[in-house]
Amino acid sequence: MLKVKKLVKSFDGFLAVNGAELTVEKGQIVAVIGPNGAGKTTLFNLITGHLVPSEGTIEFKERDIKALSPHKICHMGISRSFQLINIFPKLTVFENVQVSILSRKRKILNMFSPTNKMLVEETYRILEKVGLDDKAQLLSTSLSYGDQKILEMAIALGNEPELLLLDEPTAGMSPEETASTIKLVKELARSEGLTILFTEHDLDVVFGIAEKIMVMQQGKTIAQGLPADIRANKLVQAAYLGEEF
Amino acid sequence: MSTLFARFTEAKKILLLLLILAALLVMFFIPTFLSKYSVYLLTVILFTALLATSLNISLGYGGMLPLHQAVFFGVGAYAAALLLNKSPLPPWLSFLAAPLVAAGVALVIGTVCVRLRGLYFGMMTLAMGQLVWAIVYRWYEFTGGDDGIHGIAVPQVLRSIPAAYYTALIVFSVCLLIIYIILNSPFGIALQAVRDNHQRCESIGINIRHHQLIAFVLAGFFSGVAGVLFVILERSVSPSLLFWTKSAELLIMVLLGGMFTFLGPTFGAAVIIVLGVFLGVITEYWLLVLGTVLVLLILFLPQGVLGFVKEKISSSAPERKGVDKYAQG
Repeated sequence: MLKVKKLVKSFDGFLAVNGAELTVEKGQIVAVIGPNGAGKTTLFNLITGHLVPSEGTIEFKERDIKALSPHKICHMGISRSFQLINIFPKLTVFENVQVSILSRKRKILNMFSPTNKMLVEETYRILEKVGLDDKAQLLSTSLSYGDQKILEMAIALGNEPELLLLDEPTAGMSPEETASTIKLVKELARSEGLTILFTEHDLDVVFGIAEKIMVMQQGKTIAQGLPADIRANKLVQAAYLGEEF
Repeated sequence: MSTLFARFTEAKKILLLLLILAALLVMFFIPTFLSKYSVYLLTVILFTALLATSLNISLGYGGMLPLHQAVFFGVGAYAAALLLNKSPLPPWLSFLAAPLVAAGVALVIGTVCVRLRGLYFGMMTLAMGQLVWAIVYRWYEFTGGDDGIHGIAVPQVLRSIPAAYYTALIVFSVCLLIIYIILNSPFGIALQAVRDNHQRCESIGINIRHHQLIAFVLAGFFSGVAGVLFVILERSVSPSLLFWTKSAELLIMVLLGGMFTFLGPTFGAAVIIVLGVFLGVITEYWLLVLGTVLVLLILFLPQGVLGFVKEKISSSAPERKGVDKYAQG
């Protein structure tokens, strides 16, 4: 479904991503791991079109998406959540998700229908799935940090993506919140038939849900494969020296 | 609980509607009991309020910083004046065409400016706006230069203050209704999403430049409508209409009323104009008062007067129908 080959991104000579390789099959849950500054977020930004690669190819559903703008890539079926909270602060929780659905259904140029009656059921369906339905009427910024991270994911779901990119979905969460988020991600993958690509610091989380893992170090892919193989990989062990595997 | 809540908001809606109808009724009979000067002043407030509201499409709802909205007001006014005086078009067609000319100018300026963000966007609108002003100010053969245009051929029926007032009242009401509908449509919600978060909007598939440009052109159009109302009332135009200080005044009105509220700019326009007139009689330093008001406002009411009121009365998003259906989960 997604094929990344020999991807390079240079910022004025600094190679943030330098030879990333990644293959994601339909229905898989794939993790990208690596130390800080390994280029994980840059890789995500390259896939979603927020950055343009210097070299290499990105193919999604057999189509080159390298030169497309973020909104076009989104309409092809790739949606993402962000590492830092990235929501619409002056809109309600409901509207945050609703606008995402409106965009998917290409209704955002409709100027004459009242929005408050549109897609109410669809919006609540998503809010319910992530457990935010009872907070729908609140201003998004009044949610707790953990709930805002969940809303972050709900907005991405509003696009009904085929491929969902989650950039550190549990960053900054308490252990309880982390556990319930992981459970949620697993459930979503199953019930929605989603393909999920995520980055994560917490290795317990990664080995808990990933079906495939790609390891990055200094912008390069040093290993890619099943969790068991990754665990046994010498290169990976070296990169994570000192960390418990 | 939810039905109670729904009933409450329903009642609030009906109350608001009644209030607006009552206000319109009072406004309708005003020329019969107020002085001619008061009616004139109200007309000025009406078109200025429309102008300020149109600015707020870009500013409060679109998150853009148009530092020179008055250009589209001036272009609308000049277009109406020139079409009435120099073209064979019937007057009503001139009135319709003038806002389109303003929207056209907004399209040109907007296409360049939406590529920029924040202050750079603002400075570019200011620069391009002043360019338009300079052309109007210097092109004597066409625009009359700094003399402006006087004795505009406004149709006879509109040549009285009450007639101008009623025209302004009707046009203002219709335009505000249209703007309200647009801002609450999917387009409007997406526009507010663009205002809140560019990056996120791109990621959910919204073309932000495209969206902002449409909003900017709409704002230009309604500013042009305000310009036409000005021409009907004054029957003369001058380059000062599109000088940048006019735009600064508009920004103050929007900030005073509250840029995240729909009626804030209308409120702000009324207050500033009334203040200007009454304080202007007492002292020539009324701008000093305005400056003080502005400083206090930014310090204590950054969300504007109506923004403050809105905060006190909680707002609501749609309640879900048939909640029970899903109660079991």
